[in-house]
Amino acid sequence: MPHLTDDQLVLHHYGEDTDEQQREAGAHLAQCAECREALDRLRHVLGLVTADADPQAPDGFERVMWARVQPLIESRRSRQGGWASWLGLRGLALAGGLAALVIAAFVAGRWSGAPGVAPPPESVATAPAGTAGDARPEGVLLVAMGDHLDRSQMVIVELLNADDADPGSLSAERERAADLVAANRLIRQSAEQAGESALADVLDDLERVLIEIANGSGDASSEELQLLKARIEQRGILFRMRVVGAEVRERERAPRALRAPES
Amino acid sequence: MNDSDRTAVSRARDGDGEAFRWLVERHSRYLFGVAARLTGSAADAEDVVQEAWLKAHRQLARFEERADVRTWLHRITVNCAIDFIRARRHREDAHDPADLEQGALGEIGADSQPTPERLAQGGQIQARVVEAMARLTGLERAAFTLRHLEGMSIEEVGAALGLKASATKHSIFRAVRKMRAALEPFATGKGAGCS
Repeated sequence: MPHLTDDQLVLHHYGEDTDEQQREAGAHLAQCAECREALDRLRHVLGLVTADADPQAPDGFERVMWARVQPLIESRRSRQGGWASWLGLRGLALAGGLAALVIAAFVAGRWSGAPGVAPPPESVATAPAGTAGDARPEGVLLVAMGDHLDRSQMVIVELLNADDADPGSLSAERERAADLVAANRLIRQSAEQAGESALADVLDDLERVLIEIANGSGDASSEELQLLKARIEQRGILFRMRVVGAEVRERERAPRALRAPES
Repeated sequence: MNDSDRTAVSRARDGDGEAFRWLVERHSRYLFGVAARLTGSAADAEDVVQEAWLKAHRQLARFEERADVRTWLHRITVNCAIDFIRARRHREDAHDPADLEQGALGEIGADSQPTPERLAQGGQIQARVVEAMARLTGLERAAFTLRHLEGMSIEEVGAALGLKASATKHSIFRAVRKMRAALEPFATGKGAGCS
């Protein structure tokens, strides 16, 4: 029998050769020192490939993963009617409330902002601005959204202004960024559902930036911090957030008459 | 430790969000390693781990009480990674593995080869393994990892990745050739093979 090929040795090593091939290979190996040595080398090399060489997750990965997973699970549970049991009071206030509010705000925003869509006359007639019955839920929601943008902006500005020589001073910003990821995701999803693609794009970019900030290591080097700053500036996220923020504030000030019909 | 895991699963199944959070924070780093070695990308691994947790949450009710939680999560993550790799295959198909093979072997085998002295440290060998794995194509990495580290048979690997047996074998053979080229000098100081 000729020498075993590399591929035959691989199959033999993994026990993937047929019974007959196994017998033949075994017989050959018993009398061929060269092939035995080749098989030993193969085993030695493959023995170096263990799970110990797995890539390591970045610092803070667990927190970021929870921030990514939590709103999706909550969203699913809310569809199943399980909000109250799943969310604690804080989570309900932060995530659930925000999600519901944002969805309503966007629905309202679409009515108010859609060119050529006339407001239903009865809503104008029955709900004059400034009355006690004028709840203006969309206004409250827009405030919540504006607040989120402001908070995110502050984190990014803090990071951009941080001393490159002292990246360790950013641990609080990293935690704040991780906390903002969940809320951002809810708002982005709401924006997508409402067809607000421009806003959803900005929020999508913002989410990446927040995750990148949250992912950063507390003992990051000054070079890493500089690179992170450069990436953030390259995206122009601050400018885009300001544009979106201005639009949100404009909607916030929009007259009461331009609201969605109630029936 | 396993009891804590099982208790957390049990509580999460009853709607305890904090218990599920505890599981996520406890196992995510490990699952990232599993996903990253299969996908070869940190960003892809993050998406795979996220999907794995969502799937685990949906399957909480099906968790077998006596099973090991990490093993259960590991299996879910591998399956999610396989789904991800299959979805990515159309991009992989546009890639010519032969080019990669030549390039990878050339680079690893020549200038970038460390001296024998440097090999004395296990950490460097691990780094070399990571580097060699990174030079495999997506399919080679997935097929090799599933066979070599996950212990799946070639038939199972082929079924998981949607490949014929011959294509699965060839992916594994190519991967092993690249790994040998990169690692054999560290293992023996000799060249490969019996022709």
